[in-house]
Amino acid sequence: MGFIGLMGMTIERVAYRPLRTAGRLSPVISALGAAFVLEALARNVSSARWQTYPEGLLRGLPSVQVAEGVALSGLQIIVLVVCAAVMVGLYLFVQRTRVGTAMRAVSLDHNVSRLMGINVNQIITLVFFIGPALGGLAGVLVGVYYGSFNFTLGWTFGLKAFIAAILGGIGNIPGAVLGGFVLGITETMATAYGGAGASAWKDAIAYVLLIVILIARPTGLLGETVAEKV
Amino acid sequence: MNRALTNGRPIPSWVWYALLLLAALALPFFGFMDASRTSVAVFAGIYVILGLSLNIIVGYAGLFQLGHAAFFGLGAYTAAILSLNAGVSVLLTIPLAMLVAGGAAVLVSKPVLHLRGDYLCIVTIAFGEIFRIAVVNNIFGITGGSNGLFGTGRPELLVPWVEPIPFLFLVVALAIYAVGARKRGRAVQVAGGAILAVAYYAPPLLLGQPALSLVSMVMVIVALGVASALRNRNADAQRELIGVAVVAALFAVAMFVGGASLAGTVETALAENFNVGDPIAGPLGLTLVPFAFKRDPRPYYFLVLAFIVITIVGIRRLQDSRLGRAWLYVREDELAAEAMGIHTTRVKLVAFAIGSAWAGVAGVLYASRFTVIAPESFNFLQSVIMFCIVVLGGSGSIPGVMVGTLGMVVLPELLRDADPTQVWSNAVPAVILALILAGYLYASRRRLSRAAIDSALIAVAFFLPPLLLGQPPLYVAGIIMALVAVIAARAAYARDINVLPWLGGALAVYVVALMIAGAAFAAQLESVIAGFNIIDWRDGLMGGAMVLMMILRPAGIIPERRRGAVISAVAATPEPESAVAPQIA
Repeated sequence: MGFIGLMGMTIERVAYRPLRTAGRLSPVISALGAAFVLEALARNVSSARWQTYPEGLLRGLPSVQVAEGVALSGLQIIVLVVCAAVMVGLYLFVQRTRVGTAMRAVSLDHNVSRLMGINVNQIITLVFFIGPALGGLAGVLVGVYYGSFNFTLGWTFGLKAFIAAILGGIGNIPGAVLGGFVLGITETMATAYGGAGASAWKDAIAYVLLIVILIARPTGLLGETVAEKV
Repeated sequence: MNRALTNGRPIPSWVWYALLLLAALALPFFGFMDASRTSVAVFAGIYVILGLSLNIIVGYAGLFQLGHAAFFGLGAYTAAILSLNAGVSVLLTIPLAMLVAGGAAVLVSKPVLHLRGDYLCIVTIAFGEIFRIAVVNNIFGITGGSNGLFGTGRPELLVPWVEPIPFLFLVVALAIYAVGARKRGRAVQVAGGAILAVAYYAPPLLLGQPALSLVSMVMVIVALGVASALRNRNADAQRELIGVAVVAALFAVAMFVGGASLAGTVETALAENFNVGDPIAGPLGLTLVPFAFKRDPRPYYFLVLAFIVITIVGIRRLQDSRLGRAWLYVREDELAAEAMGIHTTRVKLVAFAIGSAWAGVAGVLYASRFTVIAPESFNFLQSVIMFCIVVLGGSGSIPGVMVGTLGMVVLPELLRDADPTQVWSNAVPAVILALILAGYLYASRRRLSRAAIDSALIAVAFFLPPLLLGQPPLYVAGIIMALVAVIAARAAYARDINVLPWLGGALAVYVVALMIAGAAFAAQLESVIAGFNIIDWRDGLMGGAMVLMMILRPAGIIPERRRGAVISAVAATPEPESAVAPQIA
C-alpha cells in the first residue's frame, strides 16, 4: 500500500502537476499515458499470464453461519471488515481533521485555499498518496478473494470505481459507498435473476444503470448541487 | 525566405495542403511502399478520418468523447450486415451508416449533454462499452458474436468510362481558359482553346486508345498552369499562346512516340488493381463500367485519400460557417455563448451527430478494406487512441490530427518489425538525443544560451563513453541520463539555481563511472536488450511519450491557430514558471 501510494505521488509529480494550468484535455491524455506505462511495467515485471495469489493463512479461515442457508467464509468477513474500517476511517479523516478540511477546500478552489494558507501542492500530493494506496488495498483484496489476477485487471475495475463514485456523487464518501453498493448489487442481482446468458451482459448492465441515473440525477445519487463556476 | 515568393504575404494554407496532397498521391509509387506498408498507410488514413471526425467533437465543440470507437464500429457493422445479408454494394451503405452512427449519437448524447465534462466523458465510455458488449453477445443474432463478421464486400466503383468524362473535362477546362484569358481578346481565346482541344483529342483518337485521354487531362492541367503563370508575370498574349502551344506540342510528340505502350501500361495497371467488369447501360445513355477492388491495398489508398480530402474540405467549410463559429464560442465560454443567443445544447448535439456520422463513414471504409470485423477493433483502447490522436496532435487543428496519427498509429505499426538489437547500434540514439534536447531547448527558450551550453554538455557526456569504449549499448544509459539531466535542469532553473556547476559535476561523475565500469556494464545491458521485446513495451513507451508530450506541449504538437483575440486560458498555456500574464493570441 505504502509503495503504491509513493508511486501515486510520483505520477502526480511527473504527469499531473506540470499540467495543472493546462486546460482539461491534456491531463486526461497524461493520465492515460501514465496508465499505459504502469500496465506495461506490470506486464513485464511480473508476466503477461494470469497469476494465482499465494494462498496464505486467509484461505483456511472457518466460515460463519449467519442465517439459515447463508454462510460467510472467513475471507468474506475479513474483506467486509477491512472495507468498513477504511470507509469509516476515510470519512472521519476527510470530515473531522484539519488536513481533511484543507482537502475539501482545495477541491472547491485552489486559489482561495492558497490565500487561506493551505499548501495546495502538499495537499494534492497527499491525496495522490491516499487514493492510489486505497486502490492498492482494493487490489490486494481482489487478489486474495478471487485468487488470481492479471495485468489487464485494472481497466475494468478502474472504470467501475469511477462509475461508483459518479453514481453516488463525486466528492462524497457516503455517496461513493452507496454507489458501490448499488452497482455491485444490481450487477449480481441481474446475473442471478436475469435468466440464461445474463452474465455475459453483466458489465453492460452497470453502464446502462450509470446512464439512467445520470439522466435522472445529473449530480449522482447523493450529489450536492454545487453551483457551477461562472 | 519562403515569403519572398509571395511578396511578403504569408503562404496561404491551401498551398500547403496542395503540396501535401501531391506528396500523398506520389507516395505509393515509391519503391519502399510495399504492400504491407501501403496497408499501414490505408489503416492510418482511416484513422486520420476518425481523428478529424473526433476533432469536431473534442477540438471544436470542446466536449469529451471517449467512446468514439463505438460509432466507428456502428458504421462498420452497418456496412458489413447490409453487404452480407442484403448484398448491397459496400460504398452504397455509407448514407445508412452515417444515419445509424449519427442517430445513435443523438440518442445517447441528448439526455446527457447538459452534464459537466467529466460526467459526459464517463457516459461516452459507458456507451462505448455497451456497444462492445452488445456486439460480443451477438445482439439480434446479426453481429456474429466475438468472432465478428467475415466477407464484407469490397468496394465497387461504377465509372462512366471512357466517354463522356474526358469530354466534360475538356469543356470545363476550356471554360476556365476562356475566363482566364478574357482580357486577351476573342482571337487569343479561340486560338488557345483550339490548340488545347486538338492536342487533347488527337492522340487518343489517332492511336485508337481511349484510355489515353486520362493522360491528356494531365497535359491540359499543365498547360492551364503555364498560361496562368505567364499571365501573372505580365507576358504578352503572343508569349502565352506560344507557351500553351509548346506544352501541347511536347505532349503530342511524347504521345505519338510512347503513347501505345503507355496506354498498355495504364490498362494493365487497371487490370492488375481492379476487377474490371462488363459495361452496363446506365441512366442518361451513359455506359458504366464497374471497377471492383481486389485485395491489393493501393486502390484503397486512393479511395481513403479521396475521403480524407472530402473530409478536410468539408471541415474547413464547416469551421468558417455560423455553426463552426458557434462551436468555438461554446468551447471558449459556454455561458457567454448562451448569452449571445447560441442554443448551446443544440450546437453541441449537432457536433456530436456530425462527428459520429463521419466516424460511421470511416467504419464503412474499414469494413470494406479488411472485410473482417470483430468487436475488439472497436474497444475502449481504440477510443483512447483516437482521443490521443486529436489531443496529442493539437486539439482543433487539422495538421495536428495527421501528426497525431503518425505518432499513435504509424509509429507503433513500424515498431512492430523493429529489431531491438539493431535499433541501439545505429543512428537511432542520436535521433532520440536530438529530440530530447530539442524539447529542452523549446521548453526553456527564454534562457536559450544557457540551455544551449547545457545541451552541449549533455551531448558530450552522451557520446563520449560509448564511442571511446566502442560499446553502443551504453547509449541506453545515455538516454536515461539525458532525460534525467534535462528534467533536473528544468526544475533547477524554475527555482533560480545556477545549474551549470551541478550539471557539469554530475555529468563528469557519470562519464568517469561509465569509463571505469562501462565494459562490464555494456555486456549486461546487451543481454537485457536482447531479452527486450519491444511488443511487450510498446504500450508503455507510447504512454511515456504521451506524458512527455503533454508536459512539453500541453496544447498539442501543432496547436490550433487561433483567429481573433481569444484569451488563451484554455489551450495555449503559459509556462509553469511564468504562470501569470495571459497571452493574447
